[in-house]
Amino acid sequence: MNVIPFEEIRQIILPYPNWQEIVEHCKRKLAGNYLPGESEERKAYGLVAGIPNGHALKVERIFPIKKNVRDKEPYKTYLDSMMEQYAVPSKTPLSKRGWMTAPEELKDVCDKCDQEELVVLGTYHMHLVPWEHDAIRDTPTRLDSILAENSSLFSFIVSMVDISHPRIRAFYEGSAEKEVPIR
Amino acid sequence: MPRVIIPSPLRKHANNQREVVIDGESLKETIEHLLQKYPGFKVINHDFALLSVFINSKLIRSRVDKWDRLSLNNDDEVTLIVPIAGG
Repeated sequence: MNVIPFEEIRQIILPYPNWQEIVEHCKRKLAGNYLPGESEERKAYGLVAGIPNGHALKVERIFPIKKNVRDKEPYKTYLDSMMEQYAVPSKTPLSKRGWMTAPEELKDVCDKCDQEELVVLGTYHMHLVPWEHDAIRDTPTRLDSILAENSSLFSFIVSMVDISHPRIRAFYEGSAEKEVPIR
Repeated sequence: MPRVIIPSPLRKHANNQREVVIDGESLKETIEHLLQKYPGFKVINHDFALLSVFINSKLIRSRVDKWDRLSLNNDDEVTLIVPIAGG
């Protein structure tokens, strides 16, 4: 497949059923309805897969991630250090913030994408708590940008601050300056 | 020679190939040769402690400094997985 670099993408097509699947994942986690084997936490994150089409990306599949290995080594040391350096202080303690995919689960998603001839386009995660200087939280934080650096992926930020009005925006490598419109 | 399977987020470093054949008698040598042939993979250098490697779909638990002891056969399949994290 001839894929143009994602930094040249000008539009992301996110069909409503896929948009809804992301939002429903967030709502389910917020309601405390956990799946067997799923990390029990008020966080929702996952992978977005699809197909490039010229200068657009079309989302075809959403892969909610079940397991958060943030507290397992070597990931804990890495994320604790990133939190200390880059996280904006908030009500949630640093030790409870952040997520990391388990290698087995990530490999499963990559394998499924290969079988279905899709590519991983990006990740999504939920922002929930409004900040004094950012009431909506629909843009990446500095930490989001640092963690997505060199990933060649889009970061889909899901604002669930107002659960009745979810918003999703997409940013290349989590950079607030590199937003690509979703339609 | 072992085949190295590249997940789609890393493929741009290998001319968008899903898999490449890389010479190497151990996991360490194979990864070193991969980095020599496709220097773009050096972006994962700082994440080596976090890089996960599967050999024939089995997750390798040994540390990077032990990879020279993991010998590879010609028909082995090595998959590289760089974990994805968020804030």
